[in-house]
Amino acid sequence: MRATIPGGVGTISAVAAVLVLCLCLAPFGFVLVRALGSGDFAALGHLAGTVLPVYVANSALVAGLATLVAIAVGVGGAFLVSFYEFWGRRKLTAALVLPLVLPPYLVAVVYRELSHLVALAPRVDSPLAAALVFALTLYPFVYLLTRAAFLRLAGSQLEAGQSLGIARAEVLRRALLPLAAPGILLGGLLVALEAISDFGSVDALGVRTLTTAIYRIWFSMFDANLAAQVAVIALLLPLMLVGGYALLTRGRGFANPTNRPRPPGRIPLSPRLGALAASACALPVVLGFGLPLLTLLAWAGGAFAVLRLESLYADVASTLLVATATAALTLLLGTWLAIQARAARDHSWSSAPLWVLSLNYAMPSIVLAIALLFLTGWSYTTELGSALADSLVLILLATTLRFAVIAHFSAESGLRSLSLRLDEAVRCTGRGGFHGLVRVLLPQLRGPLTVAGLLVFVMSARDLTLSLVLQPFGYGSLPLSIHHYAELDLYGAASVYALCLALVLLYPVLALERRLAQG
Amino acid sequence: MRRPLSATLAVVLLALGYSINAKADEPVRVISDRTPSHLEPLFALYTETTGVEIQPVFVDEGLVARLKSRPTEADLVITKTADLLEAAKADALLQPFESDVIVTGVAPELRDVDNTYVTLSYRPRSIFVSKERVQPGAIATYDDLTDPRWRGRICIRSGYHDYNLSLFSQMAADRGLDAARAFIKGLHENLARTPTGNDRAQVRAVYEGECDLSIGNSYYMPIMLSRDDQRPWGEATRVVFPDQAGDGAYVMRGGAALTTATDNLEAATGLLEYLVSEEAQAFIVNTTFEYSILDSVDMPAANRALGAEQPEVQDGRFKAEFIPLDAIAAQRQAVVQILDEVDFDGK
Repeated sequence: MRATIPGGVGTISAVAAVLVLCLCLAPFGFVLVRALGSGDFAALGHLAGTVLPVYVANSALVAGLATLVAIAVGVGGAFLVSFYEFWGRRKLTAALVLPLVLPPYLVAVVYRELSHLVALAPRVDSPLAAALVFALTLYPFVYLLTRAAFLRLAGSQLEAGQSLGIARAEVLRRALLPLAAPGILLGGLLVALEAISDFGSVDALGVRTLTTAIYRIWFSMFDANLAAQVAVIALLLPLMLVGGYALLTRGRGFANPTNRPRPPGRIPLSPRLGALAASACALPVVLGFGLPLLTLLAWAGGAFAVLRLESLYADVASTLLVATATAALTLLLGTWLAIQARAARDHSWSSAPLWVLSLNYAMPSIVLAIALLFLTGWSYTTELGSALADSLVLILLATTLRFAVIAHFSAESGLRSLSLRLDEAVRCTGRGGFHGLVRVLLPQLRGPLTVAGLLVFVMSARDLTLSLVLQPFGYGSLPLSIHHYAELDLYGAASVYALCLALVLLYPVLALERRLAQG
Repeated sequence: MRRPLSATLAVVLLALGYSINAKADEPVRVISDRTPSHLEPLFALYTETTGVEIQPVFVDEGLVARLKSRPTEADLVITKTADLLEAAKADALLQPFESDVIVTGVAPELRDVDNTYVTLSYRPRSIFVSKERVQPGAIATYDDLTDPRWRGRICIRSGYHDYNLSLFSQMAADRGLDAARAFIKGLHENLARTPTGNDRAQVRAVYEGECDLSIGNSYYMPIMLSRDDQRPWGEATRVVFPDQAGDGAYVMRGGAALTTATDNLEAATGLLEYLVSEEAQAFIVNTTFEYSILDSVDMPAANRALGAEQPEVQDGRFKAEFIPLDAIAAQRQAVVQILDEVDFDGK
């Protein structure tokens, strides 16, 4: 059943939404056809009998361990800064998000090089080390979402508990953690999907995962069918995680950040305990941000003199352009689909966009990039098509498809918290659907959409794989230059570009933290 | 919502404008997996001399996949691994060049039999040995690497990297698949650690004492010696050109070819001819420390010092064996399967 709601204007919109979703499914369709179309599974059989189990085990180990450690660090950090008062708490609250400004693959390179420069340093070429690098660079996702949940829920929960005479610790354990669970799990899911999809970090550390296998099969063996078959296997794990998340959070409703937060009263800690809490919060910041940053600064020292500044400026400009445009496009697409889903009301239809968009995010970037490369290849034979392929349009299409789920999820959960009576009320005013959308619904979603926009900005600015494969002629970006110089062992120049990227990301990352804290 | 919408439109228009601007001058379009900083100065030199603009895209991963998906987006392809050109040729992604300059100027073993691609430079897959722990002459051939006395003493990057795939495939083409299998197994048994890192990381491992021998391309030695941070690694090792008393060292070739695009064929052929000229060759070998395809081009001074302890190597001139690239390509798949079977990267 469809209801007329602002922005969801009946059959035409519904058809358009279905068409857009079909287009979003195209990369997955391409992979599936490639994987199954040939009907030849002999090479896959050989791989399964030799090294495939290692790739699967490593991928699962890296993603699983990274997620567990990130959840421990993220929830622990959020817990300490939300419920306790100690010296340095305010600064640490913001500092805990800083690892997001550094791309994980460069942090992996930093630790790899430090392991050679520092005597007795442990070796880092193992799945364990890769998992720790991911945990240290990605835990802020968990931290941000957990802290937002604590801030929203804790005040009222603790008050209620107090009035019933229930101990504070008991309230935290029995009410608050289960209520914050959707946020914690969502953060964990983001960490897991990023870790599974990554190529740069595991490649830098020499860890063999399904993603590195897809790379070598596609690019060194030129066996597109086998690569697609492995890609389908690589998709199973993230899809199981997304399914698991959906199952675990079903009916709970993601508490959305538009609710006015009621921060809990913080308990002051003794100086000794306070120092311990501060150290615990500072440790991931030091390891995920401080130490890599200092190393990058030290490396960059001699490199400024030999840099071509004009190329640096161009890289900054294109990175900003791609990140900004991706944020805008994902917000448009994600919100529009969320509105269509709300109009559908029927649950099985309304969750379709989430599943379709999740598929593109769960797919390793390299698979999405190659699928788009081939899907759009035909366009190159026409004048307009080649103009599009020569522009940033293809990169933007790729980043939008990959990250749209983040915007959609935010918009969808934001809309879910609004009563459907609101839609009816708008209708009663007699104004058009667009008016209702712009004047009533969207202002309610400002909070979650800002958060999603910032998150997409950060993630698309850091993207390497999509632009590496899909870059047009004459294109450059900060991640591409970092990759280029790091490949040549020219860490000084790579560091300069990485520091620029960190500067570009600093404001959005801090704004993300503030925005989530404010609600 | 109007503002984000107009912002998006502005961005899309900007992006399109970017492409229209790029199309205006019809430059020679080059796709390459080589290092931008190696090629860009050469392109600038060419533009300065001829006035012909060059527009490059540097795709260091997935060059063949990109060519396959958009066969005519570039006029010319330049690669550090000419094995990829053979794969592209097999997929009909290249067209033969018609150029007397190249045909008469470049030796037949450095060209494709159908003149579909030409080698631009080459470098041997060499052995880096510890000066401290390995006596001169103790290792002289690729086969020596499988000798049990080197058990746990050799480092190498991933067996699946293009350089090693090419080495193993050349061996398979040259001596047969069984010999290549025995070599790969023997080498794997002698590894000191899980293959990881690039060629230079293996030399560093020799410097740090983790292994005594490593396999790498020869040009890394002059590059390491030219850099403060890596000079100690280079100084701790020496380069051995393998099989100098036999058929010669297997070489990695960089090459170039015309794509099937026809819009700018004349200009693209012009650039290809320039790349095999003495001026461009001198630039390439002095930038990359690879070896020129022209005898008339002097070797960089740093290359003359390589292989000094080997009696067969005079003034840095070593014996190279050029296995035809189509024969190498034919072995690639089988070699990968052997690597899977021995779990080469899994020590």
